[in-house]
Amino acid sequence: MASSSLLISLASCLLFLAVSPALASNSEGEALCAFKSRLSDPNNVLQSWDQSLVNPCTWFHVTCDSQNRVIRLDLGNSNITGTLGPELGRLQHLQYLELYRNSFMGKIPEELGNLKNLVSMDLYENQLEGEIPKSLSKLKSLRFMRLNNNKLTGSIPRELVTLSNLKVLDFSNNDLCGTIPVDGPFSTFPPESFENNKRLNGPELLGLASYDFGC
Amino acid sequence: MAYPLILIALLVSLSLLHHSRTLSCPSTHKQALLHFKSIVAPPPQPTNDSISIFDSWITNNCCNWQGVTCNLALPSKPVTHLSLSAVVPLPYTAPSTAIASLFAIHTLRFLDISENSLEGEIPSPSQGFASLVNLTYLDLSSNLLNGTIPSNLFQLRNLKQLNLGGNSLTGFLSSAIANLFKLQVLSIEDNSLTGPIPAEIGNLIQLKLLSLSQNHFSGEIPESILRLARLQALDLGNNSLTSSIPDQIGALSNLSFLSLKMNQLSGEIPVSISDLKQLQSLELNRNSLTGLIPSSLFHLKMLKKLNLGANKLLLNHSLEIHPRSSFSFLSLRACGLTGSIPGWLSDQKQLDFLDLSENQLTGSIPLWLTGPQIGSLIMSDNNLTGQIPSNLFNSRNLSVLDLSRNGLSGHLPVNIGNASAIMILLLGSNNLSGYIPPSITNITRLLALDLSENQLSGDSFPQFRTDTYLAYVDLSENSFYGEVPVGFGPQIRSLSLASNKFTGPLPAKLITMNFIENLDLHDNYITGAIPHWIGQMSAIYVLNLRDNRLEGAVPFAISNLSKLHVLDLSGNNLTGTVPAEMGQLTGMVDTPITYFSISDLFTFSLDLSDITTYWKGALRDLGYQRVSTYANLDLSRNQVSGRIPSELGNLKGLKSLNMSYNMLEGEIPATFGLLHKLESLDLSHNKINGSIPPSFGSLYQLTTLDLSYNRLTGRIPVGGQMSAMTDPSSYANNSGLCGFQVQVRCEPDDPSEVSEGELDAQGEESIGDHWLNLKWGVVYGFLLGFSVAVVVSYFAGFLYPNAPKRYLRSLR
Repeated sequence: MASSSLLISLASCLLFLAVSPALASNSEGEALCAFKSRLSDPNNVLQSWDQSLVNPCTWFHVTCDSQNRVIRLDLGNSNITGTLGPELGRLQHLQYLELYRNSFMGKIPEELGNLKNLVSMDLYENQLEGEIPKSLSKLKSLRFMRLNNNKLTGSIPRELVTLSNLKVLDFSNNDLCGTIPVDGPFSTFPPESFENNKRLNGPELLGLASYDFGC
Repeated sequence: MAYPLILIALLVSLSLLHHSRTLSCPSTHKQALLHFKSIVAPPPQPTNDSISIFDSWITNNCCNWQGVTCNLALPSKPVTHLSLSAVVPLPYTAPSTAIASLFAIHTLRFLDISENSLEGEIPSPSQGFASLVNLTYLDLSSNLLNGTIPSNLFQLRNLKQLNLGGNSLTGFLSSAIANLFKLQVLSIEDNSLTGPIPAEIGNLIQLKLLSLSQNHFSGEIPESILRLARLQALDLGNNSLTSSIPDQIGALSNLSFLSLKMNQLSGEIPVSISDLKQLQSLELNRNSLTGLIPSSLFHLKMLKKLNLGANKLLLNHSLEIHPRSSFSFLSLRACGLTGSIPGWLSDQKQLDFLDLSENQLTGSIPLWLTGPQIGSLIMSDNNLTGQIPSNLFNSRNLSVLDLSRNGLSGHLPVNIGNASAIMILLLGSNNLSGYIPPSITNITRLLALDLSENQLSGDSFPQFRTDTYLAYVDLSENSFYGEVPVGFGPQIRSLSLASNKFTGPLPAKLITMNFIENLDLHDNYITGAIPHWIGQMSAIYVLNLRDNRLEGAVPFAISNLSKLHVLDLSGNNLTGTVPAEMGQLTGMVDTPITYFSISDLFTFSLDLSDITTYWKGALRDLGYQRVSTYANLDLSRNQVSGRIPSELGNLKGLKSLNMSYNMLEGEIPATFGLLHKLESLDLSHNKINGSIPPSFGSLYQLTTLDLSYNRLTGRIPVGGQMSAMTDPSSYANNSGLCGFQVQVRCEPDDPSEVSEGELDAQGEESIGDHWLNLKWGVVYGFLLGFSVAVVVSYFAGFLYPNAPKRYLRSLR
C-alpha cells in the first residue's frame, strides 16, 4: 500500500513536469514535488499537492509570501516516512521547516545550509542519522533549531557557534559525541538541550581539550 | 446504463433459443447456473416490472435459458457459451464469488460476465479458472473486482480474448501472461496495476489489440512489443511509462490506433512512426516528448486523428507542410507554433476538432477557419489580435469555441446567436468591448459562457429563456453596471459577476437559482442587508460577497446553507454580532465534498474560472476543481462586534478562519482548539482580551496565525504547531503576551501558565516543555571530574530584528 502510493505520487510529480512546460520557472513547486516523491504518506496529507497548479501556494501545509515564494513547510506530526533530499535546499525563501514527529530517515542533507532565510528548523522526533552538517552554520537567520530525538551521530560542528541569532536549540536524545561548544549562542543553551547523548562529554575546554574529544 | 445491454443480451439469447431440442443440459451445468443465479440475482422487487434474464431460468433444460448456449451436436448438450453481461441491475452489487460457481462448467468456451458490479477478488479456488480449459473468450470487464490477477488465469492456453478492463485490480502483471500465446485481444485497461509491462508480452504474437491504458504501469515500453506484428490497436495511455518511444515503432506496420498519451515519455518522436501507413489515430499528448515533429507524420494518408498537445515538441516552421492526411481531429496544443495560424490548415476540409492553444500564434483569425464544418475550435492562450470574425457564428456545427487569453478586440458579433449549437463559449481575457448582443439567448444549447476579463459594459442583460441549459456563467472583471442580473435560467450552477460596477440590493430572484453552487459577486457596489431568504439557496457551496457595501447583521438563516463551505463576507459594512447558528454550517464541519463539475463533461481540459479568496494572507485562486477541499470562513473588515460564539468550534473542517479588522471583544473561545484542520487563523485588529486558550496546542495544522492588535495577555500556548508559530508579528500589539515565541519571559506565577499535565491531557507532548522547565543557573557535572557553570542567560537582550510586517495582498 505504502509503496503503491509512493509510486502514484512519483507519477503525479513527473506528470507535473511533463504537462506544464510553461511552469518551468516554478522551481519551488518542482522541489516540493521531488521531495514528495521520496515520501510515503499513508494519511494523504500531501493529497492537495496538485502539480498542475501554477504555484504551490494553495497546497495544504505549504505557505507562501505575497510574492508566491514558499516560506513555510509544515508537515509536523503527519505520519510521513521517507528521506530528506537535496531538493529542499532549493526552497530559497523558506523560513520554517517543520518536519517534526514523523519517520524521516537517513541524513540531514548538507544542502539545507542553502536555506539562508531559515528561521526555524524543527526536525525533532524522527529517525535521522549521520552527522549534523557543518553547512548549517550558513543559516544566519536561524533562531530555532530542534533536532532532538533522532539518531544523529558525530560531533557538534564548531561552526554553529557563528549562528548569532540562535535562541532555542535542542540536540537532546541523539548519539552525538565530543564536547559541547561554549562560544556564541551556545553560552545560553541549557544542559537539557544536550542531555541523553551518551558520548557527549560536556563543554569544551578552550585550549585544553580537542573539541572532538571522545568521538 | 445496464438496461440497454440487458436488452442486447436478451435479443442475442432469444435468437439462440431455437436450437433447443428434447434432451436437456447436464444437471451439473444446471446446478452451477442456478448457484450463480442464487448469488447474483437481486432480491425480487414487487413494484419492479423490468425484465430479468433470470425470468427464463425456470425450465428444466438450461439450454433454453436466456444467455445460455449449449453444444446441441453433442449428446450431453453441454453448456458452451454464457452471455451474462449486465444481469445484475444497477444499483445492486454481487459478490465476485459467484464466478466460482461457473468453474464446474468445464465445457465453457465463451464467458461474458461483464458489467455486473461483481465485487471482491477474482475467485481462485484450487483450479479456479484453470478448470475451464476450453475457454477462448473471457470478459470480466466493468465489474468491481479487486486484488491481483490469479495465476491460474494464465493457464487458459486456448484463450483468444481476455478482457479485465474497468475493475480495480492491483499488483504486477505476471510474465506468465506469455502462456496465453493464442491471445488476439488483451484488454486490462482502467485498473490499478503497477510495476513494469513484462517483456514477455512480446511473445503474444497473435495479438491484434493490446490495451493496458489507465493503470500505473511504470518503467520502459518493452522493446519486445515490436514483435507484435499483427497489432492493429495499441493503447498504453494514461500510465507512468518513462524513457522513450521505441525507435523501431514503425515495425508495427498493421497499427491503425496508437495511444501513448498521458505518460512521462521523453525523447523524440521516432522517424519510423511514419512507416505506420495504416495509422488512423495517433495520440502522444501529455508526455515530455521533445524535438521536432516529423513532417512525414502529415503524409500518413489514413491519419484522421493526431494529438500531439502538451509536450515540448516543436513544429518546424521553415518546412512547408502539404499534408496528405485529412484530419478530423488535430491538436498541436503547446507545440511552439509562432507566426500566423498555419495556412495549410485551410485545405483541411474534414476538420471537426482543432486545438492550437498554448502557442504563440499572432495575427487575426483567418476567414477560412470560419467554415461550416468545424465543431470545436480551441485557440486559447495565444497572441491573436483583431476582431472575432462574425462568419464564425454562421456555423450550425460549432459546439466549442475557446479563444480565451488572446488580444482579441472589438465588439461581440451581433449574429452570435446564429451559432445555435454552441455549448461552450469561452472568450475571457481579451480586449472585447461593447455590450452582449441580445441574440446570445438564441444559443439554446449553451452550457458555459465565459466573457470575463474584457471591457464589456452595459446595464441591460439578455434574459435567457427558462428552458436554457446554461450552467456556468463568468462575466467577472468587466464594466457592467446597474442591478445584479439574474436572467440566466434555472439550471445555473456557477455565476460570477465579480469585479463589475453592479449596484442596488441582492435581487430576490436569486432564490430561483435552485442548483446554484457558486455565487461570486465580490467587488461590486451592492448595498442593503444580506436578506434572510439567502438561507433558501440550499445548493450553494461557495458564496463570495467580498468587498461590497452590504450592511446590517449577518442573518442567522445563513446557517441553513448546509453545503456552504466557503463563505466570504469580508470588506463590507456588516454590524451586529456573529450568529451562534453559524456553528451549524455543516458544510464546514466535514469536508471535502465533491460536486458537479462542468469540465468533467468534456474530453478536453476546460480551464474554468477562478474562485478567488484570501488564503493565508494573500488573494489566491482556489480553482473550481479544488475548492471542494477547502472550508473557509471570512468575516474580516466589517464592524462586527460582541463576543465570538464558542459554537464556531464546531466547524471542524475549517481550513481558514478570518475575523480580523472588526470590533470583536471578549475571549477567544477555548473550543477553537477543536479546529484540528485549521491552517490559517486571523483574529487580528479586534478588541479581544483574556489569554490565548491552551487548547491552541492542538491546532495541529496551523501554519498562519495572526492575533496582533488585540488586548490579549498571558502565556502563549506551546505544543504542536504553536511551538512553530514563532513569528513575533503574530502576537504584536497586545496587552502583555509572554512565551518563547515572542522571547518574553512569563512570570513564574502567571495564572495562565499551562501545566504539563494539561498538555498531556490533550494528547500532545510539547517541545516547549524543554523551554518551560529550564533550570536557571544549573551547575552541571561532567565526566572529567571538573565542572563548568553554564549560565543560561536565555533572554539576554534579544529583540527580534525585523519589524512586524503584514503580508502584502496581491494576486498570484
